[in-house]
Parts: sequence; structure tokens; C-alpha cells
Amino acid sequence: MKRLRFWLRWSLRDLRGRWALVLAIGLVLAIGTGVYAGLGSMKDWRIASNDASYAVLHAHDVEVSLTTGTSAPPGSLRRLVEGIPAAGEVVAIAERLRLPTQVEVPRRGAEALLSPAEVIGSPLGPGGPAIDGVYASAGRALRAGDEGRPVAVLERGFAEYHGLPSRGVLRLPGGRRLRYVGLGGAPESFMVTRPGGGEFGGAEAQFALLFTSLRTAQRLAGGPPRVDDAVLRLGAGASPSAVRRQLERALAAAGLSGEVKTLAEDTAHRVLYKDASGDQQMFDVFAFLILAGAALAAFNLATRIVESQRREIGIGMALGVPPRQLAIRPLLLGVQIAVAGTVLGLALGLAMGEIFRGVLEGLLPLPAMRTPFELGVFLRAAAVGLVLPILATAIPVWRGLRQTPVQAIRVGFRSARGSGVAGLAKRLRLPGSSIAQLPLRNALRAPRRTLLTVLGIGAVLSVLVAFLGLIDSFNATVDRSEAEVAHGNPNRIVVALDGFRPAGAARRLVARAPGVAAAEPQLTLPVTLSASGREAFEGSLTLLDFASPVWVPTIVAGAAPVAGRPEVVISEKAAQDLGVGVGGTIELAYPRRRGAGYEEARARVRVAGLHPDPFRTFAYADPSVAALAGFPGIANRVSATPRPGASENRIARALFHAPAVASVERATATTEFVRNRLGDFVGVLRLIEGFALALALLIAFNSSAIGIDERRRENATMLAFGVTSARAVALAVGESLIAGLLGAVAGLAGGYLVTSWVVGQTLPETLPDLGLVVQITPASLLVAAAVGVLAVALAPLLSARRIRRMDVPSTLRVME
Amino acid sequence: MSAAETSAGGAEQPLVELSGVARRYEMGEVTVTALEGVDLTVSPGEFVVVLGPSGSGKTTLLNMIGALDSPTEGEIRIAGEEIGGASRAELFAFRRHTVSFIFQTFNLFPALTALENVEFGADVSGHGNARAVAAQTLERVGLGNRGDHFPHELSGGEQQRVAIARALATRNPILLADEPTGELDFRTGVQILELLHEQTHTERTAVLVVTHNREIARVAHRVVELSSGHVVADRPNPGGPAAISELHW
Repeated sequence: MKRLRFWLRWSLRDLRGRWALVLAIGLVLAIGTGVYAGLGSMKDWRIASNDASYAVLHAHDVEVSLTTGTSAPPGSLRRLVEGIPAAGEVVAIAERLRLPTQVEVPRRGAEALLSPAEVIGSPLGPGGPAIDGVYASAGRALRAGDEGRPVAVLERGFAEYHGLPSRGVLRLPGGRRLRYVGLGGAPESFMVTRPGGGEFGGAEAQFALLFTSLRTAQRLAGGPPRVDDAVLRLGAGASPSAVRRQLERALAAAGLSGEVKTLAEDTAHRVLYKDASGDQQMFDVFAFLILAGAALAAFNLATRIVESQRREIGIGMALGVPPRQLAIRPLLLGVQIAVAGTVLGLALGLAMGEIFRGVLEGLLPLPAMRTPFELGVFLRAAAVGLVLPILATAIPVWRGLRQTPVQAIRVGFRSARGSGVAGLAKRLRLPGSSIAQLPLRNALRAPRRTLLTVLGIGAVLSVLVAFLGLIDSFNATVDRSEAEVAHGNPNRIVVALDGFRPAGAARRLVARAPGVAAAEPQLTLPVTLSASGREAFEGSLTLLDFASPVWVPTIVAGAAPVAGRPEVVISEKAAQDLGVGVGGTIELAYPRRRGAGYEEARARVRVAGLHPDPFRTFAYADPSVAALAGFPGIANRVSATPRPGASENRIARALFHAPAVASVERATATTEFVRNRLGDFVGVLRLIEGFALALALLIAFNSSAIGIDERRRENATMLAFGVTSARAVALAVGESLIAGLLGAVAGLAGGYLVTSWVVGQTLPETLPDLGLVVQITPASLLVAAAVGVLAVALAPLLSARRIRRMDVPSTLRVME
Repeated sequence: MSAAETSAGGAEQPLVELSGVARRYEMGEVTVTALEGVDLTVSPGEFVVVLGPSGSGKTTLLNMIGALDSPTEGEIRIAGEEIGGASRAELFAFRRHTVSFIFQTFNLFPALTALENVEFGADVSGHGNARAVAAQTLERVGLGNRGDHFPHELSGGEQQRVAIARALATRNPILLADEPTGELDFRTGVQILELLHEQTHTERTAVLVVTHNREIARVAHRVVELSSGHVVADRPNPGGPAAISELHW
């Protein structure tokens, strides 16, 4: 016990001399463990936040939605629900009306904003809708007194994107006005998606959701009161799937066309939970890389500190001190680093909740955000942080103790310390003087140390490269989609109609609008694409004239569909996912008109051609196919070419008051909202990038500080021979530059592999509708390489003072 | 600052002149005097040994002459120029072109071969053909065939010869050696002394050797003895320098 106290005291004295270094290595570990804990907790945080958000707004268990454009008298959906065998398990029901429209938002000092919109009307209780409640993040929420009044809550994502105030007035077609009293959301807006946009969120920028009372929505719709949607809450233990099946049967029996979904099948819900798991795979890769970079660096640095104590171990051995006791002091250094790393890591881990909360709030507009400290994840990372420094110190101690005392003491000229792989480069001379050879020779002389430094920097840089690569890949993919949607007609606009209209009338309506040069009616139907043995996915089938001068998809394989034949053009990505090629057959599920309603029909169609849009959701067919679905000569949107100089806004304004028009937007709007959605990810990635950079700098600084310490005698000799301190620092920069360059190469290679893996393996699960292409632009590679190389190479400058102020005589007199 | 110059009258001007040099270190409240009132001159081609026990100020004296340290009091003139008021850059240049060091622990660059270590000396002092100078110098110290060996592949004596070759390759007029034989066995030590002695004849280099080994002092032209920072004796070797072959320790 007494002896241990002695070693402890000695170790504490060591600590006093090198506390800054211990703290710096601890910080390296802390960033590794803290970021690992933060990124590793993302899935749990997101699921906890999702759960809490759905619970706090009393989200529905089952939703019945009539097909777009159809509705029913109030009470009919309620009666439908009350007629099913499981009606007793339904504890609450609310009939609603969802009204597609567009809004005009006056803006101070700017042109009024026109946007596609949807009004969701629900019966209001004292706290707003009792099922699928509406929360307010600014202004106020809905209350019972708002029933029937022209008052609404505007979806916060839309308002935030356009910088709208928390209160204001909105104009709807037909001169109607709606006052929004707050900004907020409901379960359907946790992720705003668009029809035909697949499972992407991010639509909030171009799509305004308005939450209001049922009676207000009915008044806005005009005509007799109607409903087209009902949400149900079930009692404990009830099976939503069973209720769904019963409701589907009841709908069919009532001759109504619609869809019944459980909450788990709701697109936003499904994507939110699936994203939480899918994204986690990507975050895990980044977390692992950052932890690995930190671990390698900490291992390297701790080892180097203990190596410098080897002589003292030898002296102890010579004095007969038992090896176990000799190991205490260096091991205590490992413990000090481990403790510093764990304490700092704990602090950083706790702070991560707050840091990531802000990022998550940008990613998901949820009313309840839960980012508790995830002890389990932290402990996993902390275990690495605890074990690693002790291991890092144990290895050189073990190596030192295996030597004879004489060998351990002789760390000077008598000790055969080896030249590493410098011998290999003996005959390889760089241009310049012998002094110019030093950086490369020094790097080669300690290959293990150089390798660990390079790997540490490489791991951290690969995070940076992967970050830039992901952004590049996202952008390249969206650019490719935009190029396809806009090819030959970059200013094309799409006019969405409020329902199904005769194609000829729709074309005339748009063609007559000022600023429109040509108009082409189209029919877009929601479909499900499937093939045997492959997972089905939702998309949209647009029927258009393949000879149209306005726009047709590019056919990269096969040919345009032949009129009158059941043929489609699908995307290359869809073909790949469905395992078919040109000439293959897929199955389409689509709504078919039956009387006043719709039924789901299925048809096997031949793939006539492929288009290059990376979105797999877009499929095209000849208008003659419309007859199969019971829509001959019908359109629900018009694709139009503006005249030169005519803006989309001008046309939108001209069509704003037309009764059949739901919205006017650029054809590239879909790619824009995908860009927005991907932009949300960038927030998380930027945070990772920041930590990676901080870690790279810390590793570089610590490595160079220890390096300068290790080379103090060589530096002193150089100074004694008249080499200027600036040149000595330049040599240290040169040596760091080599590590930085090798680290950059390793980082670029690692980053490319990570990007390929994330884009090829992880993102297809998270973003299945998008065929991402792996791309890292030369600019990104240059930026990552330059940042890495510069940060590492310039790190010795921070220690330049130590060389400049070196006590040359004392350093040279140190007897070894 | 230039190399040694000959005075107008034909008598050689001393290369090194110290007058009233003192060096004191403040250690908290205690002042440690390493040197006090030291007067010393060394001429070109002179082999001077500075003797003294540990703590007598030998190394401090060497550091002053080598411009690694500056005096608290007094004046140091090298080749006729006062170095006390020189700027940092001038001191670096002085070390590159006027003095060379040989250390007890050699301080070779472990990542460079023997030849490259010597080449370093030639490079630093700005010789045009450093590689050739280095090869020639290494040959002179008897290690022509060991040029591509790394320091750890050489014996202690060989390493010290490389260190001497590095200092000689600078062709600087003053050579300062701090216990150059301290780490070596007798035979190797003698070889080193022969090399240094030869340098005073062939190149007229002023060699200042600091040691506590009195036997080495026998081969010097002049012996300076230090004690507690004071010069207690400064005299030519009685009867001239002994032959190196007569030494033994």
C-alpha cells in the first residue's frame, strides 16, 4: 500500500509536467466517445421523439381515406365504421375533409407567394382536434371556438422555409380568405410528402398544409357539406390490422373507393421509423470512423509518451525493482488519460443530447423531442476510451520489461534502435541537401508511429471525404433528375387540376392563359408497381402523348409505348428494383372508375422502354391506356410551355382564380423538394464534419507536439550547427506534411469506400425511391485533401515556439 | 563574420578573445555563478584543452564561445568581432560559418546515413559540392567504406568519427569539442584525438577540447584550468605537446 502511494505520488508529479498533453489526448478520446455516443443514440432519440410526438397529439390508429376527388355526406364514414364487427374496439372517430387547393400568401416587401396547398378540416374540441391533434410552435393552436371560423394553423416547415410570420392572412382561389393564427403541425405533417413524390419528405417548402375546423374546410370547398376522410382511435389491445381489413370490406360493400391504413402504414409514420433505423447505419459508420480515428491517435500518442520513459524503466530494472511495480507508473499515465477521456467524454456525451437536439429539430418538425443521455451507447464507447490508453501504455511497458536492463537504459548511440524502413530509402535521394532528406527519413525511421498517425488522420479524413461525397452524390442524383424533367423545356410548368376534367377543356383552359405557348393535358394516377418476387412500391403513372412538343421522357432503352397496347416506360432504377428489362412484364395496381367511385384494379403491362430519371416512382404510358382505367379523354394536370419571358408566377396568377386549377408550379418542383429533404441531412453531416475537423486538428497538434519533443536533441544539434529555428520548424512541417499527405490518401480511399457503401448499401434502404449515383467531385477531393494536409502540415507551427525557445546547451548535454 | 584573419603586422590575430566574461544564472532567489572574470584567447591552429572538475564551468565556457549562450558580463570577440551584440540571425550565421561542435554523445541524426550526416555539416556551412566534401571528409576519418551505414549500425568510436567528420566538413575555423572521448574506450579515444590534432596542423583550425581527463591535456598546446567558474591556470604545455602515442588512461 505504501509502495503504491509512492508510485501514485510520482505519477502525479509526471502529470503535473504533462497535464496539457494528458488533457489533449483525453480530449481526442472524448471527441471520439462523445460523437460515438451522440451518433449512436440517434436512432433511440428519433424513435423516442417519434413515439412521444404521436402520443402527445393522440394520433389515429386507423385512417379511412376516400380516393382523391371523391367525398361522402357527413356521417356516412362514421356509420361505415360503426357497422364493422370490431366497432366496439373503436373508442373515438372523427370525420374530416382534406381539400387540395393553392394559397396566396402576401409578403411584406416581396411578391405574394403562390403555393400548392391542402386544407385539412377536423372537428374541434376544447384543445383542437381530439384525434390527430394540431400543435402550435408559434402563435396559438386551434380551439373549440374556431369551429366554422376562417381560422387555421399553418404548417411550420412551409412558414419557416419562406420566413413567414406566426400570424397572417392567406388567400385561396375564388377570393376566399383564411387567417392563420399560429404555426405548427399534426401527425400528417411530421414528414410532409407529396402525391407522386414517393417516400420523400421535404415537400413542406412547396406545399402548404393548413389545419382548420371541419366546418371551415367544408365552407371553403363550397356546395353541400362533405367528408372524405375519417380517423379512428382504438381501445387497448385492439388490432389495427383487423380493423383495417374489416373497413376495407365495408368500403367495398358501400361502393366507395378509398384506402384504409393503419398508423404504421401511413407514409410519414413508416418513413419516420424506417429512416431512424436506416439512417442509423450511416451514422454508425461515421461514429465508428471517428471513434477509430480518435482511438488510433490516442493509442499512438500514449505509446510515444511511455516510450520516452523506457530508460527509467531500465534504471528501475537495474536497481532490482520488480517488473510489476515498474509497470505501475506508466500504466498510471494510461489511467490518467483514460479518466480524462472518460470525464471529458461524459461531459461531451451529455452535451451531445443538446447539440443533436438542434440538428434533429431541423431534420424533423416534431412537437416532442427526446434526447436523453443513452448510457448504454456511451458505456460502449467509454469502454474503448478506458481500455485503449491502458493498453497503449501497457504495450511499450511490456516491451521495455522484456529487455535486459542495459538495453533499456541504453537509448542513446549504443542502443540499436533501428532505422525502421529508412534503410529501404537509403539509395533513394530526394532533390536537395541532406537537410531536405530529413523529413522523409524521419517518417520512414519510425514506420509504426507514422502508420498509426496516418491511419488516425486517414480515418478522420475519410469522414470528411464521405461527407462531401454524400453531398456530391445527392446533388448529382438530383441534378440528373432535374435534367431529365427539364430537358428540352427548362421552363416547363405543370398545372394541377382540382380533379378529373375533360382533357380538351383542360388543355384549352391552360392554353388560353397569358404567357402560355403550348399546353398538353396529362392524366396522372397513383399506382403500385410490382413484379414477382420483388418488393412493390408506390409511384405515379402519367399518361401523355409521346409525340408532344411540350415534354416527353427520354427513352434510354427500348422505345415509346405503342398506342393501344398495355405498355409503360419506367425508370432504370425501377427496372433494376423490379428485376425486369425492356420487354419484361410488371404488374400495376391502379384505381379504376366504377360508377361514382373507384376500385383497385391490377394489370400486367409490358415494359416498352426505360427513362433515366433516378426517381423510380415515375412511370409513363400512352393516353390510350386511360380507357382501361375508365378515364378516356380525362386529364388531371396540364404540362405547359411558357412563352419566352413569361414567368411561372405570372401564369400561376393568371390561373389562380380559375375554378378547376389546384396549383401551378415548375416541373422541377419535385426535385426541388427532394433537394430540401436532402438539405436536412446536411445539418447532421455538417456537425459530424465539424467534429472530424476538430479531431484532425487535435491529432495533428498532439502528434507534432510529441514529435518535436522526441526530436529535441536533433533540433538542438541543428540549431548548434547554425540551422535557423525557422528551418527546423520547416523540417517538422515537412515531416507532418508527409503524414498529412499519406493520411489524405488513406482518407480519400477510405472516404470513397464509405461513400460507396453508404450510397450503395445504406441509402437504398432509407431512400428506396431514389437511384443514387456515387460521385465525389474533384473539388470535394481537393477540399478534403487540402484541409487534411494543411491542418496536419501546419500543426508544428503551433509548437514552433518550443523550438525557437529551446535551451540548446541543456538539451545537448542531456546524458543518455 | 569572417574566418580567421592575419593581422597587418604578421602576428596572428587571436580567433577567440574573451575578456572579463561572467555568466550567472538566476534560480529563483539563488544566483548561480557558472563563470566569473574569464579572460582567454585562442589562436588559429592552437589545440587548447580546458580542464576542470564537474561544475567548474567548462561547458558554459564552450557554449559562450559557440554562441549558444550569452555572457552576463564581459566581451567575447571571435575573429575580431564582438558577438555579444549580434542579432539572432547573425548568431545563426556565426554558428554556420565560424564554429563547429563535437558532442560527447555524438548527436548524429539517426535517420541519415554516415555520409549524409557528414554532408549535413557541409550543407549547413554552404559548401557547393557537399556530397563530394562529405565523401572526402569521411574518407579522411577512415570511414570511407561505412558511408551508407546508419548510426545505429556503427560502433561508438565510428559514430564519434562521423561526428568529427561532420564538424570538419563545415571547414569552420573553430572546432569546439565537449568531452569528445568521454563515451569511448582508450583506443578509440586516441584515434579521435589524433584526428583533432591533425586538423590543427593541416587546416590551422583552432580546437578547444573540454574534458576532465588530465591525460588528454598532455597533447594540448595550451591547458586552461577552471575551478568554480574561475580560470585558475592558463599555460602552455611544459615541454610542448606530448605525442599521442604516449597517452594512456
